Amino acid sequence: MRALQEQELGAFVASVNHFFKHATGDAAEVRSAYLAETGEYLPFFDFSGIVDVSGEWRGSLYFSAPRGMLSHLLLSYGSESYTDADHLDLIGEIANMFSGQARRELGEGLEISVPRRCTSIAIKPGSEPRPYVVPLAWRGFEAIVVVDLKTSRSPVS
Amino acid sequence: MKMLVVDDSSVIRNRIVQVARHPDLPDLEVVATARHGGEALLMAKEYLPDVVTMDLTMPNVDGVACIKGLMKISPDMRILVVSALGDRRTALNAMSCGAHGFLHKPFTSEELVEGLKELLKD
Repeated sequence: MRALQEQELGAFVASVNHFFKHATGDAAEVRSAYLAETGEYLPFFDFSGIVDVSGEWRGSLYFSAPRGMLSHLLLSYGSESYTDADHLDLIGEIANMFSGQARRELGEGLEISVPRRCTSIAIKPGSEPRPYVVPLAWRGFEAIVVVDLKTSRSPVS
Repeated sequence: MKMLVVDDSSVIRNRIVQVARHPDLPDLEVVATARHGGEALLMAKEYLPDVVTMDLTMPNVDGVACIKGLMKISPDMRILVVSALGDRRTALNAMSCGAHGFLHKPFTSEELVEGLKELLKD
């Protein structure tokens, strides 16, 4: 299996842009992606949603965001409840939406799981290929998307 | 018309329930919500909804299996799939199992109202 290419990473960056703009009307500022170092913990915030990927692609997508960002998003969704459970529910759903939108671009070979949700989890990438970290900001809050995927597909020329 | 909302996310379920109260949908009443396909089948037997909004990626019984089950309970049930999976094959598969419409997440209130109005047209 080969590493994710930059063109393919673009599908995930586009999905992040699409989510914030479409769900809230306010675009996120998506910054330059970088390759994480193996053996070092990835940055993380209060809540994380993880979608496992199978099929032609293997690995996971990880979205980690602070409570404040998720509270603002809950408000955008018309939520009347702001418990930890609501924040966890939403972050899993957002990770699911990022993955689902990227699947539209990358095809049905990208099969996605029901999202896992957790608080303050620190993840250390174990082996090559290294995951991409995509930092973003929205309404003054920082967050990250980590795309940790490899594929059996032929390289994009 | 009775409506059942099926989604594993409580935030999304509550959003759909809120939008279903829109003035353009005066005949629609949400009678039940379900967290996964298994629960939805139980609710459908109890409430016999006319309209269902259906997520696809869910634990227990997923959306496509649930649509097949709902069609056995009542083939006249009108189902709007509301899913993050917006690719063509997924949409066609859901439609071939009995869904009548497909709305891609994230959705705006206006898009959901339009999707439900379209579903209620026939």
